[in-house]
Amino acid sequence: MTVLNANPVVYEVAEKIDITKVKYDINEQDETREPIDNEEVFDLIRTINDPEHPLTLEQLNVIRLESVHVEDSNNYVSVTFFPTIPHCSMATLIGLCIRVRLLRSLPSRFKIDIFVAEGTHQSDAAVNKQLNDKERVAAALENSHLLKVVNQCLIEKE
Amino acid sequence: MEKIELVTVLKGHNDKVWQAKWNSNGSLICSCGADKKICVYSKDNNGQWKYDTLDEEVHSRTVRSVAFSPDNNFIASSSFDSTTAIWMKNDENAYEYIASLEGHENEVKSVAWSASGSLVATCSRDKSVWIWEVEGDDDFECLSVLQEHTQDVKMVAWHPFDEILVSASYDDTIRVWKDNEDDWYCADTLEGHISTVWAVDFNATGDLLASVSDDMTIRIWKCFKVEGTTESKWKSVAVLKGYHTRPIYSVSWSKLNNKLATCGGDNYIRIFELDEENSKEDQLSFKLIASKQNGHSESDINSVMWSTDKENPDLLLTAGDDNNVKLWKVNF
Repeated sequence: MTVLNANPVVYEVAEKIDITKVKYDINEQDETREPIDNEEVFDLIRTINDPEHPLTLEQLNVIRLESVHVEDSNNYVSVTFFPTIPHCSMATLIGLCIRVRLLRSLPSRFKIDIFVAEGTHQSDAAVNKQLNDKERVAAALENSHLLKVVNQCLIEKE
Repeated sequence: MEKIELVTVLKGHNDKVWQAKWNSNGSLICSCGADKKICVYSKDNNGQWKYDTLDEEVHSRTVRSVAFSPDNNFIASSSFDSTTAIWMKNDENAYEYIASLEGHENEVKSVAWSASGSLVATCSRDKSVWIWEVEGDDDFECLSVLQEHTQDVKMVAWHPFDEILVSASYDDTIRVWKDNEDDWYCADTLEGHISTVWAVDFNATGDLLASVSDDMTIRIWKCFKVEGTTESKWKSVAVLKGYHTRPIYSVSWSKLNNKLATCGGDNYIRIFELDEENSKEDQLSFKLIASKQNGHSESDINSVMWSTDKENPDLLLTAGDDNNVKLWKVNF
């Protein structure tokens, strides 16, 4: 596969928080409700690997703490991400990886929106529509090839 | 007393439930979901709902939509596996797999029987709507492939008595399809929603159509005869805004009590009625008369359908991402 952006700018990352210390309750039967903030959500997605580069989304500045928006009391999370190049064909895949990580990690009470930052992608409206259509996402995740690629991106490297 | 009161929770699925449907007299319920299962619920001698699961080998992916034929002798189920299965009632009143409608290129999103039971419509992410003719019990022939939508088609619904089909799409439009001596054509395109149209439903008399969208609005369309012709055009006569705060996934217009029910990603069930006093010929007004928050815990509600049982018109059936089907009684 040809790498689309051969020499991306690599950013320095913040100190890694020990993720094992952050406890998420995904058991619906349990009534306890632990508040979630944007740093915790950022922590869940910062280690996602870029589909093309041996780097994380944080290292490529594709995701940024300030573009993670959490309203805990309203059960709402939105993440805006920044593709490295405006014709990035990987944008939908990156968005899907972010969504899958959050679907698997956040309590089910959260509604999640994923957006490509406005103006950072030539077809941002189309990418956003697809990423936020639950039926399209559900169907995509039944595609075993695509799921394998997503899972690859979600493997945490040491 | 709560206005929307829970009657019972119907278990059977172990993943998201996409749809739950009554048969034509309210004696059976059929549901389907991400667990690839189809459940058929019926009442036992004590009046308790019990369920049977249809053959789980038939669909290999999510079952997105189910529909009873008007005579209740058949169930059709459409799946992300690109097929639509037909199930026929056998001598033991169980539904048995008899045929598969194949032709769509990818996920089939919706299936619907025409009022006479002689036609079946399906639609898919492949942007097409297919019309099938029922030739015999297990013989279905494709009559027409309609390809005017420019995106994923989310739902198909038939007029309550005429052979008129309506489809709702990711291209933000609704299309009305009619036939002229077996030649199906697009008779009208309804534009107004600014995002995906998830669902549509006619009223009992078939002159009004409700649509719900990812744009979080409900629109009501009315059929006007075009003078001097046999044609008619649909016009938007109401937009209900501000009731839902996430995409609206389903709408049901009761054929028995004329009430409108909607549900969606904001976990709400909303019920509206026509406000006749404040309505005009070309501008209708609707009143919110009941709401239920978190009807399926804090999960999306994917499907809503009013009862088809004339004795119990105020029952409501919902299905959600909490893996449950629920039966509600609405106390007006």
